[in-house]
Amino acid sequence: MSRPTAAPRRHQARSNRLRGYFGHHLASLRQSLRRLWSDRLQSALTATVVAIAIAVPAALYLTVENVALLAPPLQQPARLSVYAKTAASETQLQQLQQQLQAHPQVQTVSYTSAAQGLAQLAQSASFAAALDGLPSNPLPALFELSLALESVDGDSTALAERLEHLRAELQALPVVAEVELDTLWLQRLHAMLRLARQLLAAAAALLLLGVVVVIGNSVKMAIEQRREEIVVIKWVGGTDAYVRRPFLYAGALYGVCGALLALLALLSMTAVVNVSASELATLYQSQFQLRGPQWMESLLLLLASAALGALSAYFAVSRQLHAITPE
Amino acid sequence: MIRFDAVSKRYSGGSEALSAVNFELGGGEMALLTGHSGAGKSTLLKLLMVMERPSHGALLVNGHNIGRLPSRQIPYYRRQLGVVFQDHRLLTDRTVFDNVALPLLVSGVRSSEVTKRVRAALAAVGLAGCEGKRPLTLSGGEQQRVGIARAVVHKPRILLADEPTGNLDPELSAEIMQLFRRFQQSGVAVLVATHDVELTAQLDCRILHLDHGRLSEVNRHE
Repeated sequence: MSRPTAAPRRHQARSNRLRGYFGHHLASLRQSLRRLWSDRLQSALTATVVAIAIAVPAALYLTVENVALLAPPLQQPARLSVYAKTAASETQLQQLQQQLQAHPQVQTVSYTSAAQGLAQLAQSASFAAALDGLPSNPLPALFELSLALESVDGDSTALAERLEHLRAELQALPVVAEVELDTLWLQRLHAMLRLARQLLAAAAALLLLGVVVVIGNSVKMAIEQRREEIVVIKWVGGTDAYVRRPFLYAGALYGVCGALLALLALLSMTAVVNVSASELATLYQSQFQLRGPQWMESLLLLLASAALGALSAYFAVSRQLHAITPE
Repeated sequence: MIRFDAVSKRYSGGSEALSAVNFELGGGEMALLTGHSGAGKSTLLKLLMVMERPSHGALLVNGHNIGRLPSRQIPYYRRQLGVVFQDHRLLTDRTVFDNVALPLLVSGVRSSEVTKRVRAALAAVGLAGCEGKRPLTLSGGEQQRVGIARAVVHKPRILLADEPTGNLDPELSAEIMQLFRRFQQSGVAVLVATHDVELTAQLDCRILHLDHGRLSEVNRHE
């Protein structure tokens, strides 16, 4: 039998190393699970604290998203009402109409003269008598503009800025008394939702920092408990990565358990609140239902929590590992 | 295999633990390192284990100056060593099998190979069948043999022992030393630090004596 050449031997060695590497990952995961189970109370406490830190921003997120569902979308295309000065002559009004129609951001212009406005108002029985007593028509001529401005990919901020810019431009015209943005209140609501989302992101960052500290501390305690073992592993040639691995899995498991508990709490809360929300919606002839965490969001939460847990463990282990040297 | 070339070690406090030490130890050779407490035996072993770095001189192992070994390569170097301690340093919450398997696991050896080699190592130290026991259920001599099995399971080229018979009675000490002789005969370089005078008298091997950091070789025939 011929002796194996260098290349297959190298391939075999690489393959053995890879098998050993993945084997140790599996063993580390099993070891971490065993250790979490053997120290159930401490693990449960850590997972609960992590769950609270995750559940609070997640619940706020769902609240904001549900409010956003209630708010109607920004009108598309956007509309503006331009009121002319009551002293404006017919010629000036015609010029203004032409000017508005020629504007590149204006799609259509609907004109209602002062007389037409008064006639429409007079059709309302409650106003008719009051209008009869007026010496002159107090209403201005109205131009209702449908704009060629739409939000791009739901970016209402950019749209709001452009609308505001257009409003200021029209307001500056000499015959114009006032320009009213019909969707202003909605813009404000969306702006408030945006602000709420930003505040939520800041709160989430703070609470997630708490998660890092909690998991980091738990891992630090676990390292102290296993100091002797780490020293022996270093004696026999274990690398820092080898020592670190079980702790990274422990951190990731804390994150996953915390996220699972948080999801469970959110689903329960949504189910409970949904009963009252549905009753309220029925009173308004609405089919509105609160939305809980979606599949994709849940998956993302689990993955992010696992990554955060592993990252916290990484920092905790790296800091302590250098301090543990064989003596 | 091991070569100390004018190696000195001075600690930051100012005391010189080793002073211009020169010696060589080849594969299949065994030497006892003797001397009183504080003579520098532990420092010499620590240099070989790269727990300390020489202040001066070159410490060569297989031609590589390990005094300048980058930190990240230290674990890989240590995989070439087998180390036996006086206090065994066994993990008491693990079985004998798990303790002995540790050097193989850190090297990424396959599990089927691990089982085979752990059993062979335990059989070599006379502890076949003790795989499932916990170290604390064993006697001191047995625990030391588990420590030796752990030190040799990965077939190291160099075996270092720091007072391996310190807590054992003379009969057990002789048994342990016989084990070292067997590993020496299989081609391993064995360096045993001891202050057990009786033991050094019984064994026919090189004796390196340290006195206040200065090394001299004892000539038995003088």
